[in-house]
Amino acid sequence: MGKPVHPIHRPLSRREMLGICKCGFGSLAMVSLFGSLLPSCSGVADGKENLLNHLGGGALPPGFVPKAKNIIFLYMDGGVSQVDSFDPKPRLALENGEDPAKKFKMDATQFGDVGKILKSPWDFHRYGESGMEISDLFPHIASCADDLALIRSMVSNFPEHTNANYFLHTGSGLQGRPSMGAWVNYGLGSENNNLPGYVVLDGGLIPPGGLDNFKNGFLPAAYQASLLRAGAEPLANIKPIDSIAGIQEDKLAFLRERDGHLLKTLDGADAIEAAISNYELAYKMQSSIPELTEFKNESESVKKLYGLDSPDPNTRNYAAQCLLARRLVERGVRFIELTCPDIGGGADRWDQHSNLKKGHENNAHAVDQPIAGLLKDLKKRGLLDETLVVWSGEFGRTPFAQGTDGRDHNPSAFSMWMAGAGIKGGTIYGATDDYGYRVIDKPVTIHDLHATMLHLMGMDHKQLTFRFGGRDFRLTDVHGNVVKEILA
Amino acid sequence: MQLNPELSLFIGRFHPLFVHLPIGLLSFALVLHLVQWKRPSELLQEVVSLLWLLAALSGGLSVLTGLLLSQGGDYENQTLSNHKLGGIAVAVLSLLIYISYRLKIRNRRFDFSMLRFILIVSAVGCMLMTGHWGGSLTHGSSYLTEYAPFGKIDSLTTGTVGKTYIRELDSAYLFEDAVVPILQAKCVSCHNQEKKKGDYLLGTHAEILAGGKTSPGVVPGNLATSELYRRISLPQDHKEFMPTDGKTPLTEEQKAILEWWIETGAHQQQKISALAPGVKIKDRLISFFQLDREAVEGYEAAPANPTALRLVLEKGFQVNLLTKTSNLLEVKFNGNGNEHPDLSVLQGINEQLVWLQLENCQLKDEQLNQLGSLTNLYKLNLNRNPITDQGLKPLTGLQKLEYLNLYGTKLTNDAIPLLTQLPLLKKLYLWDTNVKPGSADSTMLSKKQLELVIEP
Repeated sequence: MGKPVHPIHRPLSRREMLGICKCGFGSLAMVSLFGSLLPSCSGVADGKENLLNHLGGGALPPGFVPKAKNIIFLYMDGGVSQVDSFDPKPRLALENGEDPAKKFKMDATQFGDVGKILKSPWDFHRYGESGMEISDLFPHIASCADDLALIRSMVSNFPEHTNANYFLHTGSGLQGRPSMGAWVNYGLGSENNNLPGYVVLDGGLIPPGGLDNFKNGFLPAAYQASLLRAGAEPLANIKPIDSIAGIQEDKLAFLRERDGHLLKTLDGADAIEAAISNYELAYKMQSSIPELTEFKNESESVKKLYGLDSPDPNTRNYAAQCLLARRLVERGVRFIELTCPDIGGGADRWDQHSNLKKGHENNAHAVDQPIAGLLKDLKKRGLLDETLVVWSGEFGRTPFAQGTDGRDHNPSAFSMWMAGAGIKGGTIYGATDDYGYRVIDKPVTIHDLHATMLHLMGMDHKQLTFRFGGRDFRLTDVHGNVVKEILA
Repeated sequence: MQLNPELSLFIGRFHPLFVHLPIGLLSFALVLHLVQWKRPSELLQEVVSLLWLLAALSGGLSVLTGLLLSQGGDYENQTLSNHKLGGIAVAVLSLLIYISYRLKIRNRRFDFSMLRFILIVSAVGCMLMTGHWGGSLTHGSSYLTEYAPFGKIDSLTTGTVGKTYIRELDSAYLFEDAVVPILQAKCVSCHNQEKKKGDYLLGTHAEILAGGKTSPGVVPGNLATSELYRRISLPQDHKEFMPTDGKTPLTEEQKAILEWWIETGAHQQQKISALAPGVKIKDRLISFFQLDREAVEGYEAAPANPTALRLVLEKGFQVNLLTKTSNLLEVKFNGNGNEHPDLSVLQGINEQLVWLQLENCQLKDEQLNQLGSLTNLYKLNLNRNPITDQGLKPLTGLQKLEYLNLYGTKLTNDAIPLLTQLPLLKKLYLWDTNVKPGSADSTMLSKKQLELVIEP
């Protein structure tokens, strides 16, 4: 045999062909014999072929009638302190400055620098007909209290950002699993052919763990998130470089032809097919994205509602993202995640290991009005009937100080809320102990949260499976119960 | 042989440990026989005879422990006696084979080769059958073939797929449609003809009521004396809690349904509606039958005509099935404000069309005439279109409409009398229109028990 030449450059010889394929033939025969008989990715994926035959692409039907068609995930990077936001604990004020070790058993903390019991610097008030107690950190969100289903009994498995982020986003604390947005798109497909089905609006901070929080994992590459920046150019190269439209189209046609040729040589390689469809979508996005990010048709009152006129640049930044999120929902994008703005000034996300008061105040100021604006705007337009808004960090914070004026990570209890499609507004679910340190009633795991989100999208989390490495994988692994008590 | 029952069970439970020894030894002996047949050797013969002796001994041990284990009861009689006889046969045959070898080695005149061959074949045959019976006793007879690729179709048709799908609560039978599936899911794997744990069978209504070793299984109308209910509602770490051995317990929902069934008299043939369920149990049942997942209560249509469907798709509409199992359709037009949909094609899928979204696509009053005949619509979005009060007239024919979004249109207070003609309307969006909130007409709307979103 001659010296090996890369198969792209010339066709295979008969010998090479047999050499490469000797095992493949057998496996192929095996697969065709047994493949169809194996219990396969039953559930949602089955509908795919059925629908493609009937409807020629687009969205896939859910398992049952969905309450929600879209999800907006407001990710509170770093971990908001539950006892300073949505879970009032008067006992902290009474015992402020006392030694927590004498009060309750403590787990090891991330930094070990355990201080005294620290009361919340903010007052709580009751809001809405439900009388939900919310702190002065979130006066605007508080005005939407009757739309929120508040869960005070969230627990996570990880006390550290990176793993907790992976866990929150992918249902596994390890890197590499598909993100929940990817699962949703795998299950339901996109409703808009000119935009990706899973969009992350980058406020300035990519969470610890990086872009792997938004990846497709073992799912097909098309389901990963597309990252859009707030601002003039939300996406690199979104403006065509060629001044004459025809030139770009000719170039693309040429590329398509060459890629198609290569695809034939390689007999349909997955990566090439993905690359071709990426070019196509990118081209479509050059026209759909500028239209999307252009706010000139929005009325002044709407812009004001979101806080686009705020003197705080971080509020303006997050407001633009929230408004963009609504516009994405209008265009049928399934899953939209907003990351936090980089507020600078030593306040690293919501992760206030020191200087809790200033840091939380600045972060809250950036997101409070835009989020409330988003909820109100969605509601007026009827979009809140079919959009699920989820607000959550990756874990909570300790009721005792780190140093003197910070709080350390606490995965044993935190608060989150959901609003919108299928959610029973004004609900408070679960409870923590007197210090807000541990959950004592109706704990909700991240898997339960995912199961509930999928349920609202019309999917049974046990049915949404993907076969990989010989196993049918789920977003919720082998866990998860739908939290029915918060559903309308 | 009468040991103290606990001791006998303690020894008996070593049975699964010992039974695998003769299986391995026999198989190995068989292999050596084949080698011996090709290349006879004295040494090999010694080894083989030793193997048969060991097989006979471990077989005897298995038989003894097995007899002790079987005193624990709860096994299907026929299979048990087959297994018992088979096991004894294996031990005895092994011993005979060993003796025949010893005789041959001591006295070279006797060969017994034909006899021994028959004995070996029978020993191996007995071992295979006995092993299978033993497996059936512990795991159930369907255990081995349950996941076999060829048996799949059968198990599916007899299993969940074949069962009738409950569409409304009133027509469902409590025992047949709820109680039986719950018992099937959580209890029958041990309480069946083959395993009979606690002598309690759950195959028929009579058996469920009758109970097993202890008190009656179910006493109609009396939770306190119903052993079945007592066992499933004990604390999970209780010795008598069912299902035992760490198997998945019944959910609160399942427990509540069984509880209600017993309380209402544990009937065999009684419709749920006839038992007058209260609000709480009704919610449980609705959730159990997954009726809360229904979109349009009690409405289903035949599949859409493919030609009509293709026509709709060709006109740029996006068509989605409401769910995988339904034929109902949701249709959307992504106009982005500069394209006009051709609404006439929708007539072809009128039967299936329940959700229609025509947001922001420059609809004019005249075009709404074509919506008047889409009488199965229950959700309609016409927001952000330049339509006026005149255009709404044809919509009064949409008697099933529950949701109507009209925000961002040119409607005025004059539209309100028309909107009140929609009898089932539950949610109405009139934000960003010329309808004046708080005016006499709009309060008329809010009286109709519908949610009105109109704030300025």
